[in-house]
Amino acid sequence: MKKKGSLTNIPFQVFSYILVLIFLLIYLFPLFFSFNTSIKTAQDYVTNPAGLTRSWAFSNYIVAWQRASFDKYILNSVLYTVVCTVASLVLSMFIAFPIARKYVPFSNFWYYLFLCGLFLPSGAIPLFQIILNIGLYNTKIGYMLIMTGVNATSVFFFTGYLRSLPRDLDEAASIDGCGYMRYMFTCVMPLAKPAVVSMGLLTMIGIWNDIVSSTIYLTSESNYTITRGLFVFTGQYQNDWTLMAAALFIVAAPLIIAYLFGQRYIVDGIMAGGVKG
Amino acid sequence: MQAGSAGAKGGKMFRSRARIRTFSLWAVVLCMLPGILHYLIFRLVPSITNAVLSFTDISGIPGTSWKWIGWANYKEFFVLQNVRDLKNVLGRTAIYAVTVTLIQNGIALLMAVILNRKFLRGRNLYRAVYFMPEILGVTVVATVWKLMFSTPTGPVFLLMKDVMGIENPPAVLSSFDYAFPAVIASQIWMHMGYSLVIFLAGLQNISNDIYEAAYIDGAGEWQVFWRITLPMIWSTATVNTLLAIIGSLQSFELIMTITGGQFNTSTLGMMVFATAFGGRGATASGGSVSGLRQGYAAAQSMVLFVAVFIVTVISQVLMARLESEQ
Repeated sequence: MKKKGSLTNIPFQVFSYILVLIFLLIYLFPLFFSFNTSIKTAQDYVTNPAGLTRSWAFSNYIVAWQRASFDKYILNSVLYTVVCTVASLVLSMFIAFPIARKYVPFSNFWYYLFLCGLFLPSGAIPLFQIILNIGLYNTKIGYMLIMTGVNATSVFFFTGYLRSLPRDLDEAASIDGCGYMRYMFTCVMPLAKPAVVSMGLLTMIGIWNDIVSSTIYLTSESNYTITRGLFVFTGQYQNDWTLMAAALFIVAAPLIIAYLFGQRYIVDGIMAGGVKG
Repeated sequence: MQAGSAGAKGGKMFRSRARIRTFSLWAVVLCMLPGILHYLIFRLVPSITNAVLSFTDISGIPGTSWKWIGWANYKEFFVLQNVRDLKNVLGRTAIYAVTVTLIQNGIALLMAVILNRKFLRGRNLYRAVYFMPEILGVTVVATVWKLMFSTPTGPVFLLMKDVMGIENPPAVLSSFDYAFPAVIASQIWMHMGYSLVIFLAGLQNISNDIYEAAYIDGAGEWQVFWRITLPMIWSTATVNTLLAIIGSLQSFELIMTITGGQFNTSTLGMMVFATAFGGRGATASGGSVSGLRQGYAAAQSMVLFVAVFIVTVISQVLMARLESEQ
């Protein structure tokens, strides 16, 4: 390894570092600027937009929280994210396991049927008509039904992962009289933890960040998500940049925390989905 | 792959008996059922029936009646619509897809090749930073860029005015000339990390020995890239191109959240959304259409689907031909 480094010519190394740093700047500066703005008073921002904060106005976060009515939306976001993520994972797991083990007839057919989902157009309009006609438009249940889903990447990822679990385990469990459901929840899912965490984080992030479906399906404020709240807020308070910046970091905070702790799992999930998908 | 991992100890007889000895087929199938039903009702059926709805004048307003109207929606889109509007929206969609695909993949490939090199310290940190916008999501990213492009206090404005010395810098996001490039830049900024991660996954499959041999033989960086790296990750590049084309042709989330489809930023995807569910951007010039005309929107989305399909096939053929020429 060390030897290889010395084989690489120095100009190329310098060039690489410069490029990497330029892109770090391109990626970090907008985020840093937004954060810096979020802790300035409006006065401070107008007189000194580019400089570092002098006012340290952390109270922006409280004001933004109230003005954007995040207190009304936060519970919805948590509810949708938790319910839909758990439901999606469980549904996908129950599909992927029998396919991986070939416990059902035509398991290849089912595998490819779900894999189609990667290439099919979204069908947003018929979906809207279905939800409208079964009376679930602008309801929490309707929105959760849409956001839950057996997504192709999860099935693909889980199937691959479950194939690596020893088959003997199934036999041992069933001989001991362990039921299928119990076996799935107490043995398979814990054993497949890395895969579950990867897909779980990706699903959670997707639901938390959803803006299209919540715009389409949720019209009452009592059903809004926090992300929808941010979008509405940025439309209403177009020149209150400091509050907008604070609001954006309130919405982003859970995402940043999830990313800090689960970065490896998230990237693994993307790599697995992308390489074969 | 399947045969290998399923090939347990015994032959076929043993395995089929083992299947009976493990869990009852009923339990297994019963547990699969909710997932299959959900997938059929909320994914497969809508995806397929979109074509059917494109021949109706169905509306998104509850309680309105609908009827079959044949090809009228398609006729409206291609013939009755103002030719300039049609050209504008199709052209803009093409520009969006081509520039995003090329620039995003170009940067991602370059950065992936660099981030894959062992001499670089903190590689995982850089990867994590570049990938971050993908996690932050469209609404947050849109807000960040609205802030960056804001007038007269945003950094881009200040850069143009104070550093580059432009006298009257445009308000980028409400300019008919610059809003669209700004949205494209945001799209690339947001999704470059995704392409990068996939390229890195491809690069990791290349054995170090090949590189070592090449360097010992005195090959330069440039030669190594063209002769070894590129040919060996061509399949990854093909996947990335495919993902970027499909993604950018259909994507309208950033357009919707940054400009709302106004100021000449509406693409076909944005048009479908705005026509079906309301909002600006339902016409090429950023206007709105009343009545939630979902039949018409379904026809537009069929046009989009066919475009995606054709472009995908062309790009795959092109990538395959380029590969054989190498």
